[in-house]
Amino acid sequence: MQLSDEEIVAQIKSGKDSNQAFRALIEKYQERLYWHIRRMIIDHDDTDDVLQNVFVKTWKGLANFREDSNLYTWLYRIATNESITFINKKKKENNISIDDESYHLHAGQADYLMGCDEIQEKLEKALLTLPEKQRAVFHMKYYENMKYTQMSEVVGTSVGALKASYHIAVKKIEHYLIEN
Amino acid sequence: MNKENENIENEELMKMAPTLFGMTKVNNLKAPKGYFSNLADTVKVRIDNEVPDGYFENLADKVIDKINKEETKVIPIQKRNIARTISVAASIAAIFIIGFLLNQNNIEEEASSSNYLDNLTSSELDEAIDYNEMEELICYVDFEEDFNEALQIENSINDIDLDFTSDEIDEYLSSDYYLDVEY
Repeated sequence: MQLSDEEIVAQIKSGKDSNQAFRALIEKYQERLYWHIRRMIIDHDDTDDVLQNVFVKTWKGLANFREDSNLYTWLYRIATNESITFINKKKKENNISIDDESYHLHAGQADYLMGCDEIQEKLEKALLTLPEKQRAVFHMKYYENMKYTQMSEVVGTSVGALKASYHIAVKKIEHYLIEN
Repeated sequence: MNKENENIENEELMKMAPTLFGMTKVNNLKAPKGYFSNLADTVKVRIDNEVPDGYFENLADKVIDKINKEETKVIPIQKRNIARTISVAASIAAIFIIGFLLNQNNIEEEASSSNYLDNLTSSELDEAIDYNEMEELICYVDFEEDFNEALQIENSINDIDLDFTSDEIDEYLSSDYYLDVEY
């Protein structure tokens, strides 16, 4: 039987069977967090590295986790921040401005597009033109059907700003699909 | 998200981006096979091997504290065991005399070691103190005085013409004088 978030947190904080509870947490959220990060970072190995960092930080931060907030959104928040930090670090290493929206993390990152049909390839390419934060917003809304209120907790932005960001992202993608 | 909200958002999407709206939601990215079945173990290994938070912040203080404690370590000096000192001195003197008689060529080299203790650095002495048991330390401290005394004897012997034959040496070793030396 899968443990609830409350049970997982309580068990980890109590120290009793904390390893087991933490394993349950990883197994419960690993896929969702993986895809959330992967959508922003694209490369699997980098995603793996970032995801592991997310869980290590989660383990360290759980003692201070306030249970009035949602574990699910808290994890997403860590994952989003870690992904953006990673991307900015990579940009810095490659002497590329953090504000450069067209930067693609890896020259070979488009390899995954091989095998996609034409329209899917266009969509993926359109997504890569979005800034990282906007791509995260688009992913949470379009692919994961997250509520704006949850997204607001994840990215620490108001619901209104998120709606605007999503709409802009949608329009950019639509424009790309039509133009290309 | 409830159905009503979902419908509203879909309508909005359809108006804003009809091409996107008409597309199937497909995940074109792939994760390696078996990746998720090992992730929890991988993370556990990483956590177990993490350097604890704040470790490096306190490391310098810990090292300095440790050094200070070691420098101020009090080493009690026990009362000298006079009988033991005498016996050690006698033993060393005998060793030097016999050594001199049996191997004159080594005398100069051995004499040069008389400055050994003077030449030791304080860190070498500390190392020796840490390494040896207390009893050995006391012997060592006593030995320094005895060693100097023995060298004086040795130097005085140096002035004597000691051109012994092997027969004379054998005779000396079997003599009462040699056998009467107390240890």
